[in-house]
Formats: sequence, C-alpha cells, structure tokens
Amino acid sequence: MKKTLLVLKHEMLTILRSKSFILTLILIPLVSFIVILVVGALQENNQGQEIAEWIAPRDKVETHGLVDESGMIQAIPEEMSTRLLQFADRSAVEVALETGKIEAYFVIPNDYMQNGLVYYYRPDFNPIGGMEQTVNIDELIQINILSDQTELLARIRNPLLLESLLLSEEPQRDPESGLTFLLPYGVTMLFYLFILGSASLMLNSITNEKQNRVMEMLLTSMTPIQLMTGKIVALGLIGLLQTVVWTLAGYFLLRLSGRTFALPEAFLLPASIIVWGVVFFILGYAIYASLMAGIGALVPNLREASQASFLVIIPLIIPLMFVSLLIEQPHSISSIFLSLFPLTAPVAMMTRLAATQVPLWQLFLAAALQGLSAVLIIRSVAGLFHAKNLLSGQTFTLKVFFQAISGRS
Amino acid sequence: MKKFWLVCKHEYLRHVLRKRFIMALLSVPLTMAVIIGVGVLAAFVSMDFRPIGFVDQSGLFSNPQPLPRTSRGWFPIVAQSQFASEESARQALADKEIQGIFIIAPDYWETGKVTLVAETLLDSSIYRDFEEFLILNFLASKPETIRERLASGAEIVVRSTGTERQLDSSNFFTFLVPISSGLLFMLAINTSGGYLLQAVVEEKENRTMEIVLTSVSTNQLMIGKIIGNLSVGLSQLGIWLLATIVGVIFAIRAFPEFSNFRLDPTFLWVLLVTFLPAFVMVSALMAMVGATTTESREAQQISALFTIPIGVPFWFMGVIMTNPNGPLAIGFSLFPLTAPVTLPLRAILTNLPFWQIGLSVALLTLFAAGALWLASRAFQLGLLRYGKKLSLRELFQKA
Repeated sequence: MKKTLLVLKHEMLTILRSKSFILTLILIPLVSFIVILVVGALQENNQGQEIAEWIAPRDKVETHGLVDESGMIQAIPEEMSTRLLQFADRSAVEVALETGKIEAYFVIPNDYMQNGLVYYYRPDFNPIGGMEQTVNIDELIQINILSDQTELLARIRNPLLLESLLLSEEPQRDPESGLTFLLPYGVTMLFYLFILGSASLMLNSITNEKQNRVMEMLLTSMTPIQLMTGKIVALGLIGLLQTVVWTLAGYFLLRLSGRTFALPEAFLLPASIIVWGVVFFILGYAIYASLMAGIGALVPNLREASQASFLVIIPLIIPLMFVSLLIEQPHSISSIFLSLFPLTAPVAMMTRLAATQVPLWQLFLAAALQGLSAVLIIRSVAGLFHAKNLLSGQTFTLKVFFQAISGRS
Repeated sequence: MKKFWLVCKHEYLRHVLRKRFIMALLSVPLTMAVIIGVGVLAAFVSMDFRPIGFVDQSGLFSNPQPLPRTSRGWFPIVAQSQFASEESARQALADKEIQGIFIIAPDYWETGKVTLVAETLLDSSIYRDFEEFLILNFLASKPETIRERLASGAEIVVRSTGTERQLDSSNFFTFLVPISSGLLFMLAINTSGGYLLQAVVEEKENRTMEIVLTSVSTNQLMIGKIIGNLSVGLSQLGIWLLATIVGVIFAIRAFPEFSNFRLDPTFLWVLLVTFLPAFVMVSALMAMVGATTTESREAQQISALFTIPIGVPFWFMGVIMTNPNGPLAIGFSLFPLTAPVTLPLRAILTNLPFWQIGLSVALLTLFAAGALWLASRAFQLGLLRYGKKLSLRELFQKA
C-alpha cells in the first residue's frame, strides 16, 4: 500500500509541476471562451458590438431591383415599396446597379409558372450570407397571383395554425429547438474528451518510463499491480482536477460575460446526472487507462504508441457516431445495448442521461458491468508488465497485443 | 544535383513502400464511408414512418388528393390517411397504427386552425408535408401549374453579375468541396509533418549521420528530406482528391438532381497556388523543429504551434461563409498559416479580387522561402549536435 501511495504522490507532483500541464489547464478554457465570445458576437444581430461590426459587417442591401419578365406583378405592396424598385428590363436594372441606386436585383423569368425559379443577381455573389436579407419575393408573387382572393391568400400564407394536445406526461422538448440536440451532444463530447485526455496521460507516462528504462528499476522494488494502481489513481485524480477546473471556468466565464443561461424547464439537467457522471467517469477512465497502460508497456516508442492507441479508442468513438440515435430514441434497443456494453457504456449512458430519464436498474447494471470489466482488464494488463515485454523493441501489432494479454509468446 | 535526388528518392520510398502507408491512405475514405453509412443508418432507425391521421371537420377536404411524391431521396414520406370521425382516429392512435391526428377545425377556412393530438411532438417534416397537403387540396379547383407553384413556392437562384456563376438547389453543396479539401490538406500536412519531425532522428541515433555528411552537404540533405517527405504527403492528398472526384462523378450519375454540379476553374487554380507553398512552408518548419529539438514530446508540442493555426478557420466557418468579404475572412486569407483553408473556400463563395489572391500567394511564398532558410540553418548547426537543444537565437546568429 505504501508503495502505491509513493507512486501516486510522485506521479501527481511531476505532472502538476510540469509547465505543459498548467499551460493546457489554463489555455484551453481561455481560448475556447474567446472563440465562443467572438463567434457569438459575430453571429448575433447585436447592434452595440462595434468590434463585431468591424470584423464581420452585416451585409446591408438597402434597396433591391426587380425585373418582371413574366408579367405577373401588377403592384408592389406598400411595405415593400421602399426596399424594392421595379424596372422595365435587364439593361435598365443594370444601369441602376452601376449608379448605385440598388445593390442587387431579382429577375422573374417568363417561364416562372412552369419552373418556379427566380434569379437573384449580386455583384459579390455571396450566396449564403446574401440569402439572409432577401426581400420576400415569394410573398410578392403570391399577393399578385391571388390579388382578388384575400381569404385564399391568407390561407396559403398560414395553412397550419397548430394547437397541440400531447398525451405523454414527460415535459416535452421542442424538436425544433437546437438545445434538444446540442445539450446531450455537448455532454457527450465533454465526457469523451475527459476520458480520452486522462487516458492519454497514462499512455504518455508509461511510454516515457519505458523509453528511458526507468521502468525496469521500478519493477525491482514493487509489483506491476502496485505500479499500475498508483499511476491509474494519480492520473485519474489529475483528470478529475482538469475536468472540475474546466467546468467551473466555463461556468464562471459564461456568467461574467453577462449571458443569461436560463434553460427552459424541460432541459434542466437533474443533479443526479452529476453523481452518475462522476461514477461513469471513474469507471470508464479505469477501463481505458488500463488499456492504454497495456499499450504503453508493449510499444517501443511514443510515435507507435499514438497510432496503436487509436485502435483502442475506437469503441469509445462508436457512441459518438450513434449520438443522434441516442439522443432522439434513447429507449430503443440499440441505445440500451450501447449504454450497457462496458466499452461503449461510459459515453453512451451519459448521452442518454442528458436526453431523458433512464430507469435506475439500467444505471446500476451498466455500472456493475463496467466495474467488472475494469477489474478484469487491470488484472490482465498487469501481466503485461513483465520483463520480456518491457525490454523488447518489438513493433506493436494487434497480434502481439492479444497474444501478450492471453499470456502466450 | 544528383545527390539530393538520391536522398529524396530514398525518403519517399522508405515511407511509401510500407504497409502502414497504404493502410493510412485507405483509412480516410473508408472512415468517411463508414461515418456516412452509420449516420444514414442511425437516421433511418430513429425515424417513425407510420402514417399520420387527419379528421376533416370543415368539409373542405372531402375528397382529398394525396401528395404527388411518396419519398424524399431515400426516405419515404409519412402518408396522410383520413378518418371519418375523431373517435375512430383516437382509437387508431391508441392502437399505435398512426403517429398522431390532425383535426381540421370547422372554421378552418377563416382561421386556419388545426389541432394536433399525439403522444409526443412529431418530426418537423410531417408538419411541412401536411401544410403542402392542405394547400394542394384547397387549390384543387385551380389549374395544375398554379396549384404546384403556389404550394411549393418560389426557388431563389443566386447568380453573380458579370461572371457565369450560379447557386441553386442542384449545386447547393459546392461549398462542401473547399471544406473537404481543406480537411484533406490538414490531414496530409499532419502526416508528412509527422514524418519530417522524425526525419533525422534515425540517422542521428545510429550515428550514420556522420557518414552521410561526408558525401552530401547539409543543404542537399535538407532539400532531399523535405521534398521526399513532402511528396509523401502530396501523394496522399492527390490520391484522396482523386478518390473524391471519382466519388463525386459517381454521385452525379446516381443522383440526377446534382447534375448541375460545376466546379469553378478559379477555385481549382487558387487551390493549387495556395496548397503548394503552404505545404513547403509547413514541411520546412517541421524539418527545422526535428533538427533542433532532442525530445520527441517537445517536438510534438512545438509542431502543434504550427499545425493548430491551420485549422482555426474551421472554428469560424459559419462567420466566413456568411461574410466572405468581411475583414475576418480577408484577414484569414492573407495570414499564411490560415490561407490554404480559407482562400479556396472564399473563391467558391464570392468573386475574389485579384489583388487578394496575389498578395496571399506572395506572402505564402515569402514565408515558405524564409522557412526553408531557417531549416537550412538548423540542419547546418544541428545535425552533428547530440543531446543539446538548438535554440532559436543560435539559428539567427552568424555561422
């Protein structure tokens, strides 16, 4: 026990004192905050933000021109007439464009009724940004086609004034709202990054010690399990520290920036999610950190290590690929399977928890299965810390990995 | 002259002839195919295709025509099925035969009121399809062209004055091309950059460096290594781009709605003219880092300093796409590290003034030349230095 604690203390102090760790701890939330602030300011229609206006000015097309080659437009309604000027033909409108009377123009071709296309001419092209400011040509055409049938016109403009009577009792999340997807997705990504980050620390630590041959000396004084446990717990605590610091930093920076982050009732995450988050983080981390330790024991140098670790990370990425399924159909069979299978469970279960309420027995079952796999993996990886693996410069292949784990070669 | 070519060939073959290279080459298109396949699969599994029931209490829809289309691409459209009364509809809902009921109120014509009864909120496409269904049916008495036109509305095709460019629903995804070529560029640079970081490590470790340097000058070695490793990255990029083009041609044949896809030639030569100097610049910087640092971890951290800025435009992608002529976009197009990703994207989205292209390329070439000079200094000073790190200041001092 004492030796494990020794390893633990040493590992933690080394990392906490390294410049790169402190740098990443502070830099990442700072940079993300700056990016979010800048992007958010640029995309909102915020009149007071002068810097935003300077960096990415809102495209202001004050007046549009219109050439109607189809003959459908009899009159332009008054609300639109300040922003839309009609011209007789294309040459007239091009002259107006050059003299600056208009900044862009529409052309309704004479085959409009058959094809439904309206051409929008802009000198700077800008198809995506330019779309936001267009005068509603569709409305204009409808008003002109149905000029004498006001009731029909009103019905076409608003065919569906919907009132919903929902039978289910769960508070409903509006499927249109971006948060329905973004909130669980954000939780998933965060969780994935935390587990991955902490597990990579493990890989780095072991590979470095193997490379500068310190590992062999350490193993004369303690058993592999003591070494591994000490490292796993130490790096887990560091990972947890990183997580907590970043979450708190994110929270406080958001408050400081003055944005109110009032989530509607259906989106409020229950406090229990934090408890389960910690539980699944610890279990998921234990599984992946020990797998990474196994890789670290087998690979000859750091470069091969990062390539090999990619193979092991694949089960962790699978829930990310199925994230929309997990969010929108959290009670389907595939979702339940993904959240119980120990390798995919840490991330998948968190996604489901952020999207809906998960029955308690599933949570306990998942935790139990993960705990079991963690113990099994740690035992088999400890067996890898044997001289023959640590001293060989053998290239890492999957075959070697499986043979070593099963005890042969 | 022949010597640097020898080094170049050796470096290139050393990497390309390994199994790992072929695997990495194939893994990218494979991963893309898997991700797209899984995404489509997940979308399919999560959608509910049961019909939606409706009850007409207004009397306007006694003989309704179904929607003309039954599917949208690969996904079938949810059908509308009529029920005579609210009770029979609710019974079907309870039996889970339908997803929900739209009840058209008796005063629908004046107010447009419709009530939805369902378990949970439905997919948004169901509402849109029902709107179209309603419009098509209460216009039943009008001639067919007017019906269709009023129901589906006008489609706006954006064109550019002066040049022959157009964006409509058929070539809407043209801007995916610069985004994906930017991503491929980042991947290729990371690969060849990674190789360059380790370029001289092997020779230094087994002391063959001294022997090599009796036959080759440091400059010849440096240029050979840089061009050799760079060509590895370029080959990867070339093969991926070729695969993408083949995929696009296949997609155009398979989905005739994309047949209007045309790639602006300006985009292609902007791509060429920014990627090449950028590749050379980053490769030279990586070679310099490889020759100066002693520990691989440190080398990776310093190289991140160069590779991360290349990806920064992706964080601001939304802003660049909606404001391709704003100062942010222009700034990114001129700064050498962010230019290769930003400039081709802007070439598709707007009419690029020639001075911007010229200035950006000039800056890139200048920085590439500077990086090459730094790398050559690093090689001159660092190749026979073991264990001690070469500091930046020493690079600038007179030899």
